Amino acid sequence: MSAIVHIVDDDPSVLTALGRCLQADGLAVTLSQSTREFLEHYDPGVASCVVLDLQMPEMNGLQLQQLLEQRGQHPPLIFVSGCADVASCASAMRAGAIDFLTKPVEFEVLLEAVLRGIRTETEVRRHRQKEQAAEQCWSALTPREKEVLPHIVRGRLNKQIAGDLGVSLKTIKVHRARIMHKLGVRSVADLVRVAELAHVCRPGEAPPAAAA
Amino acid sequence: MNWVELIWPLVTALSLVFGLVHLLVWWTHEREGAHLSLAIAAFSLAFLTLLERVILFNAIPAQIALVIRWMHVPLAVLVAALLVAVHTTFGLGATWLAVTAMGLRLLALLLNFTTGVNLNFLAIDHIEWRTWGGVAFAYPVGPPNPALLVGMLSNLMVGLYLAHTLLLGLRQQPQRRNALLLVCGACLLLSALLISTSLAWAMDLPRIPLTLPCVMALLLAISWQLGKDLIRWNQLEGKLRRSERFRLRIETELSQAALASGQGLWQWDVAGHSLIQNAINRRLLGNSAEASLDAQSGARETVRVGEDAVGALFARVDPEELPHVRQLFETAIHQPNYEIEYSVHDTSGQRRWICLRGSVEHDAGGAPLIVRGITQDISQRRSEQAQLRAVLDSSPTALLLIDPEGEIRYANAQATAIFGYAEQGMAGVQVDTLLPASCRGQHAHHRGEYVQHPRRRSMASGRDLFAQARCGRQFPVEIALSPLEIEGEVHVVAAVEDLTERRRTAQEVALERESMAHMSRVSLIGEISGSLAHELNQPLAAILSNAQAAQRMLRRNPAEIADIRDILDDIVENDRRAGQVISRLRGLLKKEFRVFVPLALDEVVHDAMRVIRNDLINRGVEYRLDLAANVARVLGDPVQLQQVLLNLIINACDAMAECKPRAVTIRISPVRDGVIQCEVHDTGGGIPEQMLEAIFAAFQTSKPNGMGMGLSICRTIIRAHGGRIWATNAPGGGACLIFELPVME
Repeated sequence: MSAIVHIVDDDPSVLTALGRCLQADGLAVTLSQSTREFLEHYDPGVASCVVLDLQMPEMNGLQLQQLLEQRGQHPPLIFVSGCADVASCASAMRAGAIDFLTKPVEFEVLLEAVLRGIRTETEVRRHRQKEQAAEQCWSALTPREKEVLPHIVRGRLNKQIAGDLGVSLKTIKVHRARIMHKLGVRSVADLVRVAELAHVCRPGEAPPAAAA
Repeated sequence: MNWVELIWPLVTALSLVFGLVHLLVWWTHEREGAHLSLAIAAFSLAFLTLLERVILFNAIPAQIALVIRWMHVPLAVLVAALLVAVHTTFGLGATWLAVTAMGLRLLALLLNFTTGVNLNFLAIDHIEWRTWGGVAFAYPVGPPNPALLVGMLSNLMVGLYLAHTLLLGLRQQPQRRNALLLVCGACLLLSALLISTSLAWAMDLPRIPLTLPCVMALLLAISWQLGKDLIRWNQLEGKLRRSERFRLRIETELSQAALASGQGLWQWDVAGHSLIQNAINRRLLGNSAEASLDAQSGARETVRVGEDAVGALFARVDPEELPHVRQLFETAIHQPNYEIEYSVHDTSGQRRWICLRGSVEHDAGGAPLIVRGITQDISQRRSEQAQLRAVLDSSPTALLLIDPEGEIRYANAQATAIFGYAEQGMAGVQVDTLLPASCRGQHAHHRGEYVQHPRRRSMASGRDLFAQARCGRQFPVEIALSPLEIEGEVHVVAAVEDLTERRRTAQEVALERESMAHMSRVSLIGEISGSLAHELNQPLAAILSNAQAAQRMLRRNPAEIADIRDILDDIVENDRRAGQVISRLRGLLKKEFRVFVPLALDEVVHDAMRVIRNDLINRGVEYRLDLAANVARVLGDPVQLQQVLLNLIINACDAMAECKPRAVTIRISPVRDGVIQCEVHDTGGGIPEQMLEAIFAAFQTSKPNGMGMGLSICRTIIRAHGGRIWATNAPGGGACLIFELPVME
């Protein structure tokens, strides 16, 4: 698991101490004394976990969380705060923080949270890769194939699809074969899963065009 | 008709007139002895001249002898009269001489009639005619009588007496020198004449027949002298009468004045047991003597009061007090001037106060002879005095009247109370005894200086003064002095304020103020507790993390000592930091009296920022410090000044809650005119113009849960530091709170 742990805290001594802890456990650590510095260090392409102090001058933890959200970057965030109030804690958690810890932080708790964050990050990244692959496959389909696919996913027979779309059974069969080929699947079950990853439709959901 | 026919009757007649004149004088002028003597002497002389006239031209020896024998009678009378005259006029010579002279004269007179034909002759043998001045006189010749010696001796004694008188008189009474010389000289001459006559006769020497005219001349001389005395006496009498009239007039006027002013006048003749008083005196003293004269005329009335003159003066005194008052009076009148006060009951039974004062004449033994006095009704004065005394006694300030010798003349009730003399009174107490023993010596000196330069001032201003009560308790006082001239001497009125209570109150107020400041500080800490907790948490977090990191490192790779050392260094550093936070917090929470120390204001600013920094971050407030280089030192309490700064910063943050950007600037300007200025400037909406001063009032707040004490306490603190604090609105917007403190020289 090669993820970078970003630690952001305006207090240099706390920053080093936390960094030392995580480094001692073999984690790759990047230290930032302010949010601005963090944003310079942060590479969205690399799996990261952010240990973030809530109170910092200029831009505090929650503001940073919002900013990342806006940018569509979702590294796992672990808030660390000296005087956490319920409101900011709730706000952070609602916005998807991994955990909200109070200083002084027990190392085990922090480590567990960081590892959890990294795991989540890894999973999210893996999932996103599959989605991207599926979406790439999806974008390779012709419009007609894109029209046929939801029907297949919904488990309709070729005959029914041909009837619905007003084309011949043979044409549908060709489309199905082409789709299967292009998405690299062998079974309808695999096809459903890829379609789901590519956000084509949800199982059991009627294709938008065939609602009637 | 020869000259003898003319002279002798003339002398006789003159002598008679002269005698009559002196008799008249003696009769009309209080029977003065000298004049009677002179009258008798003059009559004797007249008789003598008559007898001599008889023998001057008589040729019969028997007749001459008889006449001479009888001539000795008026002669003896003449000598006696002259002796008496001289003795009554001067009274200086030894009496025994005069008496002996008179005795011898009487003896001579006796011998005159018993021996020979007379004192001069045993027998007259014949008559010789001798011419003198053209006239022939009969001159008896015969053996002299040895008894004449007695007569001579008598004359000698007379001469001795006169000489003695003259000698003593010239020595003792030089002012009567002329009179003495004239009278005694004349008499001496007279006795010499008599001796010479007798001798001439006895020794049959030639004799001038002018003895008696000479005697006449001498008598005239004596008379002249005495007459001169008489004239002078008459002049004096006239003068005396005039002065008596004048005295009476003055006395009447004085009496009238005494009547008009309601004063009683009296005079007590101690030996004569009489009391003279005016009507007012009788009315005031109420003695039972009857008024003999019209009271309105103011004339005196003499009262015979028997043995008890004093009783008349104290007739209306309470019987119980009488012995005391009498004793007071009897002691007082042994002084030349006296004054006593006592109370009587007047006819209506009302109590009146009487003051007797006056002068006393004493005899040589010091016993009073005549006591004169003025009687005054001083009830009103007494009641005014009582009122004044009541007013003075009700004063909360202790008042002392001190005479130039440092003795207390008067002290009001408060003074006797605070000095602990309520029972025995303070009159006569030496003022130095009211001071702590350590300053008594100096005080006498200061007192002397004050009498030299008397003025109204407070005593030893700027220094803490202490007084000492009778029991030895010392207490802080404030004393104001003002000079008061009484009877030409500078007295001092000292107003003494016991500061014990005031000091205690001031202390309580100070304590109260300190408590208030402390309370406000505690509530301030409550407001920034989040920030403080964070401040404390940070190092604790760092310590924990560092320690745990070290644990992990050691577990994994015990060889990484270098890293461990860094970690330990950091732990120590952070621990120290946490300790500082706590001690800062303790400093703010401490409840102790302000301690003024020299301090740099920028240090105070930094300390305050350490405490509040996190709060500012939490509130999203940026802060900027603009501190002048080389900040001068001020004398102050670091905790209280920090409290002021924290208050101002929190207020600034509160004021900016609703606006953006939020920034607070803390600026220390360079020293100007001996003061250093510190301002806290925010970017909020500012303060309404009319509120710029009001915000410093107590219980003035714009915050929903504020006490409204913050700025009020800030002002109290800054004022206690000798500075001032005020608010303005900055030109670029936002409020600006400024305080300035005097810098140390």
